[in-house]
Amino acid sequence: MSYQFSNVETSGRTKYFPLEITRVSRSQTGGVEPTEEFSRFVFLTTYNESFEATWTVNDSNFGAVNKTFRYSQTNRKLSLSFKLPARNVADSKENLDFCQKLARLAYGKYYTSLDGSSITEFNRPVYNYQGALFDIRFNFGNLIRNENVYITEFSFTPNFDAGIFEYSATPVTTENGTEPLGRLKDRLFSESSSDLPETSYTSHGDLGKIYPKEVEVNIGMVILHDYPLGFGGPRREGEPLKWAENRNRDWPHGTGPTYPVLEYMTEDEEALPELIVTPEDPEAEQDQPVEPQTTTRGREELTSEDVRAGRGAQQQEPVQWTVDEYGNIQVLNY
Amino acid sequence: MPVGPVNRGIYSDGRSAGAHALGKGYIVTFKHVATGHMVSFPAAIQNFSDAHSPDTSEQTFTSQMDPMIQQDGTARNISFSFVVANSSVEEARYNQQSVNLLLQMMYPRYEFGRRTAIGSYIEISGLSFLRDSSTSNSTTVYITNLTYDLNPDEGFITPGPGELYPILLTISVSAQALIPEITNIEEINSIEVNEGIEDWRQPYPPSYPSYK
Repeated sequence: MSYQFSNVETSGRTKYFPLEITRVSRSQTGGVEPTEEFSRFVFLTTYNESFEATWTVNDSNFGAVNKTFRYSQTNRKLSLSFKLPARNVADSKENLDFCQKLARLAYGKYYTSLDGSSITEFNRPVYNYQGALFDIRFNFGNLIRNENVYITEFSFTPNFDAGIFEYSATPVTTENGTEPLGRLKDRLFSESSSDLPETSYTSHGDLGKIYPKEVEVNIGMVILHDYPLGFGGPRREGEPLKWAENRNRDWPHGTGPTYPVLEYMTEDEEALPELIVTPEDPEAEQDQPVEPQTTTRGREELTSEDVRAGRGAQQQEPVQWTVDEYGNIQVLNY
Repeated sequence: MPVGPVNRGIYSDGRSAGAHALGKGYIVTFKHVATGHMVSFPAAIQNFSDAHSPDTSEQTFTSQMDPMIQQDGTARNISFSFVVANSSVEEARYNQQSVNLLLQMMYPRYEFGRRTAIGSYIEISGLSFLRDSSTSNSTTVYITNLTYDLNPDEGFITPGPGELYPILLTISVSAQALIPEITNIEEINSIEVNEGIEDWRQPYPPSYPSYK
């Protein structure tokens, strides 16, 4: 983690937690690798999570007391704001650096190859837009636990009423001669000199620049989950009332490592889907397009109704089936 | 043996807000109808609104005063918010799990082996001004928006690194209510017998909605 005023850092490490942002990429082995990480202890001012369910209301008979309501899905949105106070110039610079990195998360991903095909006749590069950033993970203690997010809003507001750190050209005589005060403090801080206490680094040598003592940041995001949400589901065979994630942890917010989770959140042993292809096959671990296969429903599979209706082997119907990602056989033409 | 429905009551240690709520019977309970899971909170209601909105269309005609109005049913939109207060680490952790269960109720139930999500209605009970009728203690709704709002100005409980619990958090609920319907003749007859109301021909109970 980058420099932060010592009191804040000590308090953060012992009692609180930083806001951690990681950009990740999928490795060739299927794992997740961080490509960029940055974090900072922040002073939370608002935290608002919104769970929005989409229900469609279908037209029903005129004057019906209740319409027909159909559930579609639920979105989890988060709005977060915090302050970043600075006790010295270095703290303020690091705050601004943190905000710059956060601001860039609101932009999509672009690419240019810099070869002939990507440069116009006016020598301007042509950028290909590769879409929104879906590789961002936020971690914020037990509130946001390394969740994949998509940034919908970012705003940065310096609070000038709180004051600023200014440039100082006041000459100071040192053993090496005369030096502007701001530049001297910059140098002493970069050398980690004991001659400059943390709280004394209050002016700098960057002419024309100001560093705010406090900034406020607002971030809006949609949380995208890479695990199932709901009750029951593919990871909970025979347990329709247990939470679908099946990870022995509270959700969405944690309760620490020592507090036991409720029984419906406990982890079940998950049956792995059967391997359809032999392990010796080098193609085995690669995703293959699933082709529907066809077989014929035999006499032994005829229902009693079929038999009563006189449907026999001569009326065997082809059954189309496929294997889904969980290894279940899905019949396509019931 | 599969896990059965959870029925999570409020935290009460004799000193907490829960103890006061228990003493007065101020408890709001949410039931996820698809699973039967239930969770309760002290009913520290901050605001409440119950809007009955006729679904109408209006048409106007030249030289004819007043619009022609056509009504196609009535929607009932309910919104309210309540606070959850924590006064100890134990209470904060307990309430965190209760709030988690409430937030989870915004998600559906799945049938094993199928991907169809079965959204759930939520039955809200315990608020005396939110009842389907004088004989019912609850109203069934589908929640369109549930917000979880921390109040940092009230402070936090921080028992250890990585754990933070608000002293006060606000839960806001926006929902559309299902209107109770009388679905058989026996019910109509019982209204006449038990409540002494003759010729009740509305599809909803005579004491709907009940605010007292």
